[in-house]
Amino acid sequence: MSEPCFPVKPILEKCAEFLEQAILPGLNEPLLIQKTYLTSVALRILANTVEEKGRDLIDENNGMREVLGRVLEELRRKDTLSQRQASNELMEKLDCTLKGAGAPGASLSEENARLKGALVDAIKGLDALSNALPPENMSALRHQIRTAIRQQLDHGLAHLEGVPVAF
Amino acid sequence: MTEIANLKERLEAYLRTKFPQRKQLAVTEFNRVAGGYSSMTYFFTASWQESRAPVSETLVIRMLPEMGPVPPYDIRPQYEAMTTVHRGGLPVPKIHWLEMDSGVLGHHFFVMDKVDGEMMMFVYPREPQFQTQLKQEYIDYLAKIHALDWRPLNFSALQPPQSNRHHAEREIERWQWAMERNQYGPQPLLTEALVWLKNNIPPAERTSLCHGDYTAANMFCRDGHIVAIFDWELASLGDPISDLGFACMMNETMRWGFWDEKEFIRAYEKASGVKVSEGSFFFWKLLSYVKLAVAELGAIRTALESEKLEVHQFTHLVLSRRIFKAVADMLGF
Repeated sequence: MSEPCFPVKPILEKCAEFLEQAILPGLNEPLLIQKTYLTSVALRILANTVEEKGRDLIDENNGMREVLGRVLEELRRKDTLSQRQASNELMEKLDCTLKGAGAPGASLSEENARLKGALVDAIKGLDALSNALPPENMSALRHQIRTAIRQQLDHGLAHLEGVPVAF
Repeated sequence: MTEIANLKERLEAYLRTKFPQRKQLAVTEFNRVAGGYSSMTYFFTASWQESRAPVSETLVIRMLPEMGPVPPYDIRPQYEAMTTVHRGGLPVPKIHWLEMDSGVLGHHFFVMDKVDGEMMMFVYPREPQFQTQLKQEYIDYLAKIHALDWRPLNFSALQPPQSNRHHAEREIERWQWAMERNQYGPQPLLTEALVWLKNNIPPAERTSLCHGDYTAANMFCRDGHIVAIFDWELASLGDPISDLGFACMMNETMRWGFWDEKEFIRAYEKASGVKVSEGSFFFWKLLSYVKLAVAELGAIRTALESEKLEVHQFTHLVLSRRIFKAVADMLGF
């Protein structure tokens, strides 16, 4: 018999609601009020994160694989790159990352971190090669990289939706 | 013995050696002040007998760790900056002495006056009758700091930039290093921002003493006036527009609403007599966002690695998201 699957998101939201509606109104001490309030905020952030994270990570990982693949393709197309060593090093890193992508046993988060590392390498590598590639190609690659980054940012921001936080 | 009790004991022994003429010297109070990303601040009261009459003095110790989430880890620039600004007649606590023997209390430190007051970030929204005055003083003091003539002072720790791009290059390198040290995972967004910054450095039109962390959270007010400007640990010699960018970035990030950005720049131009280049301001505001993002990453990493996670540390998660969005929006992602 399989383990029961708990609906984590509603449970976390219920906990936050309990703190906000049943506990907070009865508190007087400012430090305790602040800590309780922030605990409810943390629970709401986790509630938003837990269900969405799997889907988000799949989308992000696919997005990064695609852009890294395009960078690699562009570098391979340019046989006569003047900064050959820099481009070879980057190609090798990207090739290795993409071949190892989706490796068995790696969690989505681990894969996400690995791909982000490769994206950082691509950003730095393309900067070093900025004079070696045609400007329009470089611009297109940068645009794709930024689109992938924006997707990750939007996922992160979505987890904060509806979370009231004041500083 | 607790860490605080140990420090108190060591301080007492040190003060007795440093001031042998102060009879029966005792440290009667010693407390750590909460807050700050890197520096450690303590209040202490020392009491002694002078001509058979009791004397006591409450002072502040400011010390920097050898390493932490935010560089630099050299206390001397802070000491030099504060001493200069105080001598310039501006509201900065007077520093009594600098101690570079880390054997005394475990870290280098300096001792300065304690100033009574309340943080401007709390006073400003609460006291509308003081807002115009506080805003003006905030800008006036900034302009005056930037106008101080540092050249005759022969600083040993504060190094002038070697070119009109050097300050920016130094800052980018420093925060790149800090990011790679602080991050709890690769940071493509900040990497992209740092690459953009490196490739778009505006030439500095002048070199000034810069505070590096000029915000309402680092100022004390009393009776509607700014009475102390604190937290000089990020002080440097460089492009003064860096301070404007930082001040506006903090005003936006923390949603203080102290001023409209254009209003702030115009007021600074009037107070300083210097025109602010739009390109320079954009650059330094973006770099300021990166600086704060890196500091937040450090705070998050500290929280994740801590055995005792405090719930208030979740605020760093929210704040960092806000900062990342601002960076992406500025770069037009």
